Amino acid sequence: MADCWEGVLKPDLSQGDLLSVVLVGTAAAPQTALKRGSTKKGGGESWDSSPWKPEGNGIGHFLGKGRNVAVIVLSQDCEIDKHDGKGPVLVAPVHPVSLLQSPEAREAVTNRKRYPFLPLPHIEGVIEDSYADLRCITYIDRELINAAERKKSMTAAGVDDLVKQIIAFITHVPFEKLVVPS
Amino acid sequence: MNQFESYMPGAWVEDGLIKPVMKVSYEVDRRKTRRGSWSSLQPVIALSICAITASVALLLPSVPYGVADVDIVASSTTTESSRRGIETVPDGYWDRLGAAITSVSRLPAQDASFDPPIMV
Repeated sequence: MADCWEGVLKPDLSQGDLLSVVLVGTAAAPQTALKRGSTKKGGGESWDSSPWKPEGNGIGHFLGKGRNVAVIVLSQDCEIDKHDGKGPVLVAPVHPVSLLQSPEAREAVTNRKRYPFLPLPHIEGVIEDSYADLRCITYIDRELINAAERKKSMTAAGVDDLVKQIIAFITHVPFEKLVVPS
Repeated sequence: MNQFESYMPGAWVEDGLIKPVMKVSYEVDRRKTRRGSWSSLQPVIALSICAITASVALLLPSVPYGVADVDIVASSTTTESSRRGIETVPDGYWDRLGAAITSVSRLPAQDASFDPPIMV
């Protein structure tokens, strides 16, 4: 993965881009639906727990938990462009290897020994040696993606490694076996 | 998705998931589409699609299944077909893909006992 980062950002949001930072997480357990509460002084919103009462479109609010982290873009380039570039974007959270307490975990991640973890080399002033955690793939609203800062783009080789990792993790099918007759 | 046994890998070429090795410039082609020159490519693309489809149809009966003599496509080539306007999945594609996937042995199981904790 030594050559996975491009020297300059690609012109548009692309598969393999590193974004900083985005709220990533999931619904908190136990599930807690929220409804908009009274407006506070100064215009701040408040939210109260309530029975699930979505809007007319079926979408409602609920309590989530997660982190504000860097993410790597997983969506394929032409999917990113569809719907006038307003569609959701699949991402995986990125964490520093230094957060891992266990030497075995660090070793497995940095040496790319497990399918769910893609090691990402450090970028001076941006991230230390890190890994993308494919177990926590999620989609992010485009508005939030656009609000995040694009830090780096991946080289073609880096994107290839990313795709191979996704295939291995999701399918457990050996990439090299996916061939067709000439 | 329930007819994996009817897999015909030759048709994969249409979708671009897998095709013979062909280095394509990732950056250049991406810019072409994103900068609006797509419409100028449409006649060429339409002709190409017709030619590819005809070729595949002619080749399929003589193609032995499971012959592995081409390399895997990289992400740079997987993006080409959809970028150039093939927006729908060819007939029978999922059956063929499913058959391909089920026909190969899976990667070995891994020890997850030292996996990092879920951080988010």
